[in-house]
Amino acid sequence: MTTTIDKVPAFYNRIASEETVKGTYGGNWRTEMSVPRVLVVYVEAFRLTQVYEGILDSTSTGETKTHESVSVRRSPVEMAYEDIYLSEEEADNLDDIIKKGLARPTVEIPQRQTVHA
Amino acid sequence: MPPALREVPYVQELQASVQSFECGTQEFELILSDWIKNHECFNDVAKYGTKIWLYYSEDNQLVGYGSYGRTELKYPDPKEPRVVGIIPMIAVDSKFKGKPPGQWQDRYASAVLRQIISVAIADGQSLLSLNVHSCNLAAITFYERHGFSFITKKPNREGNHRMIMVLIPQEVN
Repeated sequence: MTTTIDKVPAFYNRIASEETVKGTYGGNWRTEMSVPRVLVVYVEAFRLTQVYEGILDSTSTGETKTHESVSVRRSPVEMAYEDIYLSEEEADNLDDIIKKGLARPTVEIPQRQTVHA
Repeated sequence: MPPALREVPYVQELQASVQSFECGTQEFELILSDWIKNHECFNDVAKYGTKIWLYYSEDNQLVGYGSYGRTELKYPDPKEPRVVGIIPMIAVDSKFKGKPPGQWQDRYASAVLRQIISVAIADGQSLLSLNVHSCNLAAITFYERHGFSFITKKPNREGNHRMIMVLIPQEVN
C-alpha cells in the first residue's frame, strides 16, 4: 500500500517514536525533528484510525515523499466493534457477571422510547 | 439527580460547533476529543451504524457527547453470536468534569452516561459493553460506580491495554 500524506499533522510533537518500518511522510515538519528518526505519523484526516509508521529521511526537502509498505493500525472504535471474540476464561467471567447480576446500573436511568432522539 | 441535559443528534452540520471541545491532555483524552471534532466519527457512523449525540447544559454549553452502536459478541457459542450494545466513545468536556461539586452521581458526566445507557435499554439490549484505556483510572472508577464490571483486558496499540467492561442495563428474556 502506498499513501501520500499531504498535510502536516498539527500535533506531531506528541508523536511517539516506535519501531522502524517503511512509511510515508510529509515534509514541513522535518526542521522540528532530529533526523533520521523513526516516527509514527498520525495523518490529519485519519489520525484516529490510521497510524502511519515511517522514517523521517534526512534528505527531506519539504516535499511529500512516498515509500511502500505503509502500516495501518486500527482505531479504538474499530477494536471496540470488531474484537468480539471472548476466550473461555473471558466468557466464564461474563457468565459469572450475568448469573450473579453483578453489573446492574447503580443509578436511575432515564426513560427513553426510541434509540433515536 | 444530575443536571438536566439537552440532547442533540450529532450531524455533520454541527461539526464546526464542537471544535472547541477538549476533554483533557492525556493521549486517550486527545483521541476522544479528536474523534468528535474530525470526520472520523462520521466514517464510524457509516461503517458501523454508530449513533452520536451531543449534550448541552441548560445555558447551552456543550457538556459532552455519547455514542452507541451494536456489535456481535462471540459468546457463549462462537457460532451463535450475541448482539450487544456498545459505547464506542463517550466524553465530557474538561470544563464539566467533576461538576457540579458534590456527589459523583449528581455530575454532568453521570448524566451523559445515563443517557447512553437509556439508549441501550430502548434498543432492547441486555448487555452493554465499552472499552476503556487501562491508564484511564478515573474513567474505570467512574464506570464501576455506575455498575459496569470488568471482564477482560486486551492489547491496545502502543503496548497499552484496554479494559472491556459490561453492564446489564435490563433483563431481557
